[in-house]
Amino acid sequence: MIRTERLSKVTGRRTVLSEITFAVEKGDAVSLAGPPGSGKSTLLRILATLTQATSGRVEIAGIDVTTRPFDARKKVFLSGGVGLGCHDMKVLEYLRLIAATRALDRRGRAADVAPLIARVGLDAARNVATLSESEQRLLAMAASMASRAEVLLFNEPFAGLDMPAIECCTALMSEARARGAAIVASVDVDAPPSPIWNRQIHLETVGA
Amino acid sequence: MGAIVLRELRVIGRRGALSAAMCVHVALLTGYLLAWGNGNGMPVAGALTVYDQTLMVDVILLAILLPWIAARCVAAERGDDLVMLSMVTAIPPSRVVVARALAATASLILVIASGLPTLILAGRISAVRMSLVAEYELALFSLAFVSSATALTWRHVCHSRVIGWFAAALSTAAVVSAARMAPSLVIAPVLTAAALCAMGLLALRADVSLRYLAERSE
Repeated sequence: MIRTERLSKVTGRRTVLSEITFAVEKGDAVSLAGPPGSGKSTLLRILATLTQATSGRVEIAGIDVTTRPFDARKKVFLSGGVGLGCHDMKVLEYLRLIAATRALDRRGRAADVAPLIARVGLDAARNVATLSESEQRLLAMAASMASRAEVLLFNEPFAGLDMPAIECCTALMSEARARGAAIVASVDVDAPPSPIWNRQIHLETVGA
Repeated sequence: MGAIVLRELRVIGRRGALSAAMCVHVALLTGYLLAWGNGNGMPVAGALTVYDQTLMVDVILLAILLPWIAARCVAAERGDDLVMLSMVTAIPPSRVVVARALAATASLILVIASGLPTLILAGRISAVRMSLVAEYELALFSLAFVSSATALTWRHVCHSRVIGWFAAALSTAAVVSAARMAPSLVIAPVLTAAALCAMGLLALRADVSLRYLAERSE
């Protein structure tokens, strides 16, 4: 599902990622661990086609993200740490938009997102701009599930959430993994271990 | 694509500015007709018929209102937010821009059409054929394309909505002046084609400039 080869990212004079090579298969759940500044968020953004790598190669579901970023974007969904992309929408409308643009069934109908909203405990009529940080994180989690993308990326998915919310997110991620999605999530070095991960990739700070 | 157009229309419809602008448009146009509809005509344009004068006022009103509606009502996302919208919906930025342009144009056509009853009334007063009134109304629709194209272009160029509106209003006014106030059926297709080309260029540019998040936001 994900293949990177000697992936590097240099921002200004700073080398954020240096020659990263790894692969994530269908149904894998990989945690990206590492100290702050080790490039976890940058790596997720490169995988999500939101940032261009300086050198190296990245494939998402067999699609080269450098040459075909918009095709790769159909296969991947990143939530957390990058905003929601919309300001003028209600929770229900936001999730319906994602389902309608990404997850149509064979008859061209979007999946029903109401049960997802109920599971994450959000008010469907709330404007997304008025949500708190943790509510936005839950909405992003619901959005990634509504997208039914083959590769799900999460930037610190449990940060700032209480225990019931963490359990809810873990259950949703497990379901996505069970349907074959590959999951990669950045986690804080101090985060408690979670049973969902079957592999860990540890990033170290590269330095200048 | 349909879902994103619907989303853009919903955002525009939710803002009060659209209905407010329609009310202002209808009120001022009707007010003008009531004040000068007795056949005397506006002092500075006395040689024109009531219909011609009303049409001229309509064009001036639209040149001011349409860019304002386009600048005020379209969804707020730009820059990195548009990149994110493209990511969450898996729709290329060019299509998001096209959807936005379509939604803005459709809304502006609604505003232009709101003045039609007054223009029909003015046409009856001046004994103008209904087909001619309809022809000019169709020609006025080209202003919707011009206004949405200029407003969206300026929106991508400058951060401030107010500056974007001023720039779009000036651009639209320049186009209206060049079209000698009321665009005829001859000029209207040219204006529409030019606006569609501008929208197309904007969309193509979006796929390059809005492909990735800005480096500063990392």
